Amino acid sequence: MPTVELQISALPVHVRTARLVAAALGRRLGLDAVTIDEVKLAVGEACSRAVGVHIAAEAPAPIIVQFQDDDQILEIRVFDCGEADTRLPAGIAVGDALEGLEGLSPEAFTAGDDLFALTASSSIEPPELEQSVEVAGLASRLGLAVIAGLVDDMSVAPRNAVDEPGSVVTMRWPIVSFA
Amino acid sequence: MDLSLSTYDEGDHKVVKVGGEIDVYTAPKLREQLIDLVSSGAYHLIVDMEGVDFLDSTGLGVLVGGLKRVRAHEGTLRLVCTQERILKIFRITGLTKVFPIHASVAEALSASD
Repeated sequence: MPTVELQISALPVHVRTARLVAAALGRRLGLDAVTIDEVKLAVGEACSRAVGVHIAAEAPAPIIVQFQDDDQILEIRVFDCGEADTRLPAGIAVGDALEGLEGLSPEAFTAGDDLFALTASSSIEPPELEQSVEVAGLASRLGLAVIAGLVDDMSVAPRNAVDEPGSVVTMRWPIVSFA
Repeated sequence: MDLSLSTYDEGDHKVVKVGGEIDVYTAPKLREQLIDLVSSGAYHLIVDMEGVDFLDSTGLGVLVGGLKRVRAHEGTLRLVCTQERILKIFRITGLTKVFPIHASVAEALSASD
């Protein structure tokens, strides 16, 4: 059983709520301020990615965020429903995410306008959707690069649900309490 | 906390002062601001991020989008940021190689002379 489970509708406005819950749990566990910032950012990135996946897939289901801790490990899992690229950016080192952005033609940027053609509108025409999904894929990879850069122990895997596609981002932090 | 935006002229530069949180929800506001500035002919931008409490990859995406837009007009986009937790995100993603990052608006201005 997770210690705390949060379900949010796949809307950008709710990503902040997930971040605040993560920060509150980090404080309760006695994590230091820098680690709490990292947990908050990583959870936000995982949820932003999930929002993009849900909107692209037009998945009505909520995004699930599970927080679980024992004496040693804080584990946070973010579940989405939709087809998503679960590959981590190659090498996940500094600058790799950048290559994705640099490889993006200026036309793609103006056409899809980052992630927002996707997240700002609920009714997207098919041609726009195609471009948006492509661009959101890049934004999603940049988000994963941030998580991979912040969290030593993280993975992205298919959700293995029988009847629906989806992926799960798992992140683990050692609990070093300064309380 | 929401996002706050204000702009002012500093010589031939436009300074965009950003405060609060830049995330997947608020970043479209910043994006619109940058698009409006470029459409109105402002191609030399300084984004002052000293008041930013939180920045994520969607915020980075908007800044990269802004950079691409000003570059299309041979313009510049400089950032002002001294906060370690914000700088860390630029380093992780390798974007410190793409954006000139300065300690103050004055420094950013003198760097473009």
